[in-house]
Amino acid sequence: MKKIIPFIVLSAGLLTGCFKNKEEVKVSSETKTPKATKELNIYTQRNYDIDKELIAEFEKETGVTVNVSKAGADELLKKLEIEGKDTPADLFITTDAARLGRAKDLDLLQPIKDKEVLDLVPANIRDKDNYWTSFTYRARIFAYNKAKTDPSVFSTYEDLADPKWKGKILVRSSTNSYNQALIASMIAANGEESARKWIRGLVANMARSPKGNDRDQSKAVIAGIGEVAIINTYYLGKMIHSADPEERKVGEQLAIFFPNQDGRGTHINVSGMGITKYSKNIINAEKFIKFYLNEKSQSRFTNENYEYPSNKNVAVNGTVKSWGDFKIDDLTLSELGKNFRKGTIMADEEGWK
Amino acid sequence: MSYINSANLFFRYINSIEDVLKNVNFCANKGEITAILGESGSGKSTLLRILAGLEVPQKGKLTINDRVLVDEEIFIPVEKRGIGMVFQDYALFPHLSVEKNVLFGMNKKDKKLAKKRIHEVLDLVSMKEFIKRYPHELSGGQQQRIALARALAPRPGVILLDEPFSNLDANLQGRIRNELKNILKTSGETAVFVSHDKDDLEIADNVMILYKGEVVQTGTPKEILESPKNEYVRHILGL
Amino acid sequence: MNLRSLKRNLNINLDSWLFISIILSFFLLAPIVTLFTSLASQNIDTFIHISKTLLPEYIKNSFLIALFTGLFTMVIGVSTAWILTMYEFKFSKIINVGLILPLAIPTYIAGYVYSGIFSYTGIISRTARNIFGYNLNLDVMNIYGVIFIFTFFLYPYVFIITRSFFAKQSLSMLESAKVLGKSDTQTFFFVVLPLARTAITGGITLVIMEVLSAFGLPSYFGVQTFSTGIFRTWLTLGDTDAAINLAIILMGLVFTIIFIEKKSRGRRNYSFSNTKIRPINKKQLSNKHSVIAIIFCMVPILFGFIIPLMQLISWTFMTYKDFINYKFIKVIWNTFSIAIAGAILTTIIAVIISNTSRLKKGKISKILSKLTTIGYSIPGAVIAIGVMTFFIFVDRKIFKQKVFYGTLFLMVFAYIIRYLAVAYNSVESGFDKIGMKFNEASRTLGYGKTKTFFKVDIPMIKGSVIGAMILTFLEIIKELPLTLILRPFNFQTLSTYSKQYVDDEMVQHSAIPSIVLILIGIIIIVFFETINKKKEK
Repeated sequence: MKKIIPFIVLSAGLLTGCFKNKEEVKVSSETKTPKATKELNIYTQRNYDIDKELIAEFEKETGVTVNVSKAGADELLKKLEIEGKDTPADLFITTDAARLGRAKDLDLLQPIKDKEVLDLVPANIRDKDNYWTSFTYRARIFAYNKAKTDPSVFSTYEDLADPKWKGKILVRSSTNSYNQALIASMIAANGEESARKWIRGLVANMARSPKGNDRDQSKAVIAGIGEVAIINTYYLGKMIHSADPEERKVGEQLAIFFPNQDGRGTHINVSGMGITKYSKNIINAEKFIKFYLNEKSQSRFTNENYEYPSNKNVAVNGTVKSWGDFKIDDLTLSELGKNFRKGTIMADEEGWK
Repeated sequence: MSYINSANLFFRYINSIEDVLKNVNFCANKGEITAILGESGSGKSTLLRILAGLEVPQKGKLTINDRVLVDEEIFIPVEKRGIGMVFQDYALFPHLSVEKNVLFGMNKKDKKLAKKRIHEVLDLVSMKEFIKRYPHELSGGQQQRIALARALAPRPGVILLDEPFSNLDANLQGRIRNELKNILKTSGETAVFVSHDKDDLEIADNVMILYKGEVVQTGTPKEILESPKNEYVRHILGL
Repeated sequence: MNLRSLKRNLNINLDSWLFISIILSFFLLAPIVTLFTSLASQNIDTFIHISKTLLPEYIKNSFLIALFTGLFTMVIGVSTAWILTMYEFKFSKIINVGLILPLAIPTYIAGYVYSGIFSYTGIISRTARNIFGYNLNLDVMNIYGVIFIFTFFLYPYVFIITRSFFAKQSLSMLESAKVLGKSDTQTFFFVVLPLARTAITGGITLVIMEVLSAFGLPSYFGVQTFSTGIFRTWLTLGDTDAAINLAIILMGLVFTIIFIEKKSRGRRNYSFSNTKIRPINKKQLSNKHSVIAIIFCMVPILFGFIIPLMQLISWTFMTYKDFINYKFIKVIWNTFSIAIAGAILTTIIAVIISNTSRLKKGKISKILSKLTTIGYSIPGAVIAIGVMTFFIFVDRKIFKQKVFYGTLFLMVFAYIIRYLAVAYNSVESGFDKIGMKFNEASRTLGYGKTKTFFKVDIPMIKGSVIGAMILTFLEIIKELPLTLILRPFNFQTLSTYSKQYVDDEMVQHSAIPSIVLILIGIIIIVFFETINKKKEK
């Protein structure tokens, strides 16, 4: 049993090491002027390779250490809620405006004050009270097999509930935030009753019970299971440039249709961030936002990740440009936060799995 | 006053309705071998365990050598009673050698003395050559002798044996019985053993017969064989 | 019984063992109790919504999955255990180990792999399209897929327990059946199976508990179960109370199952008779029968290990370049060290409570041993919420500054709560095997409870203690939802790292962390098996 003793010592060491590893965040008294600090703590839903690289660049440029905690947006929201003023987080980053709206409604964010930043981003893709700003956006569009379908059959999201689409629609689960945001936008545009009827119609027209992710819906279109898939624009970019030759094949056979161009415009959603209410590193948070919005970073987002840049001065090119211009839904994204939970419940009730 | 004295012992298992022992008065004289006889379920093993301190009687008093071990307010735990016990399946520690097993209960402060005692007691049970072996290398009978040596080594004064002969081959039993008697008498211990076999009476100085937790008859083997009190006693004695 | 006797009995029973056990139990329960206290302020709207729309679905799915997984794992686990116990044939030794290997693969990883294999761009569809020109669309992301995966990756629980039981059967029991004219098959169904009832039920119970609290797999396959429902309600709908209600219902279900299992065991526990056990002599199979046996046993190994491993290896070749960096090494180190610390602490606590339980003969010991199993029946996510809430409370009210929150301590603490049952079962069966007689012998020789514990009990259950540490280690490295919620900044384990890639829809990249995780698991399992073999010699 002599071997047990080193084990116990080791675990005791690990535990005391635990206490040292934590971030040294003391609950200091609130000061009026933010101090310059060497740290930035991010709660983020997205951490693609491009984000990792940008963060590393930011650290190099500014000398600030960035600590990243990645998890689902809802989880992060819950954490922020529970932590309250003891939260170590400075920035809350999501791929969904609805969650940012919810964070604002829960009083977890503070307004961004930097005018430079606010000027870079058009008003319709940032919070109307500046509690958050987007850094990229994307559209939720119809993807179809260009060899088999004539785009003249498409018009609006609402039209998809028409019985003529029976057995033809492919879309992922309503538990996914992209669809929750879409439903929320339908509620905001047409009212609850209409949105409910729309969901009902959509469900009746589904080619199969929702399963898989956006890419799976596109693949199912090419496989002939359905005729139209509701997906985000950047996925098409990713498939076309995929390392997997099978995926590339699928991507090349697809085309995009931007719905509701004759009306309010195509539904978009954003990747965005807000500064937490109790942030202890406000200056660094603002620096980071600016960094993500600078031209270099923005160009990378559109070239490497096929997202639309929020910085109004940065133009799209390459694959994204090839999709053409489109009219954006003029609904303030700020409205999404209010409706998405209602939308989730409605989806449950009307059977959108 | 007898060496071991118990009065009014009552015992039942937790969550049980029936008493396993009822109003048992047990006594054993110093240096003598006392047998507790009874069919299975009569409570005899339980009585032994109460003497050892492995069970707590709900009611009753137990004294050994004028020292109160159990009464209403007192319960002296097993390890403080200084009673030796030989278990039915010997319970030799498999991870220790014969030597370490026998050494287990002894005062180890004086190493020389302890070594001397080990040899002494192994000699007593005729197992000297096995001192470095391990329990799994021994036969049943050999294990029993080591178990006995282990119990005797600390010179407890009282030795309890649970069904010492039931695991042995029938033709060996007679010889083992006599050997055990000699060993016990030589060591001068007060011994109590439990059995369901009438043949074991040969080595007992006194006998207590239990039936369903109650004492039915006590006396010397001769007395009991000559005047069995009732049908049950007769049955137990094979008469 | 009068007051003086009561006092005497209290003195007998209240010792340091009981004291420490009670304190440990208190701390282990506190986070769970914290959850329930929030029930006081109940807003039932969300719960009503759930009851009407989703609860019936949760119940139906959870029930079906548990039922069929239980059934299939029983068939696979018991049949293979029997074959390996009774018969000798070529490769049987390797197959013996191989049958356990699926345990090294977490069910959610199995889910990613199989859904990848069957996806449109996966190997099966691709081959069908490109080579045969046939448009094959096999969908596995449904309840059937979930049952399939749970079956092939959890059957080892039944296999291990049943095999262990069979191995201890006395040859004479089987021989008497033969003498009475029963064939092998008849002996199996009419003698062995009824006897093994308790062992088999024990194994299936473990499987069902795992199934009910699993989150990653049903969530990924889009199957709504209690666990996914709890997550969704808590996070998306933001209703902690409703989530707790669901968690309570789930716990109630699990307790019912455990209760039924214990009742069916009756007074009997796993201890074996005292009469000399003659080990079974394996019968050598003829060549023809050997082939049948090998094929039969290879099926679960194929689906539960070989196929997923091959797909993972192929993905690894696609993506390994992205992993040759310091960060990945740190991830491996994190996984390892946290699991070792967790396993050791959990085992120590399990040993303490288990010993207390066997020393005391009253209600307290029963209560203590039941308490330890609570954590296993609660989904990891729920425990995480409880632990987080509890320590925020402690930090705020008692220390008035951040002491515990944000540290690894929370995670390890939560692991202990969650997996105590695993270590406890192993330790308890170790204690059951040796029984009380050695303990009692030591005490008659003058050693108190604690000294006896160190000199006799621990050396004798060494194997079970190590087994407990190994099993707990395995569970911890595979754990996902709890780790996701409680980990500190920048802290990744192999399981969270793997999930991250799947979330980012880079499934092929999830292969490398998955494979490293599985490799560690395999090493542990093989180690465990060799220790077991040594024990049996």
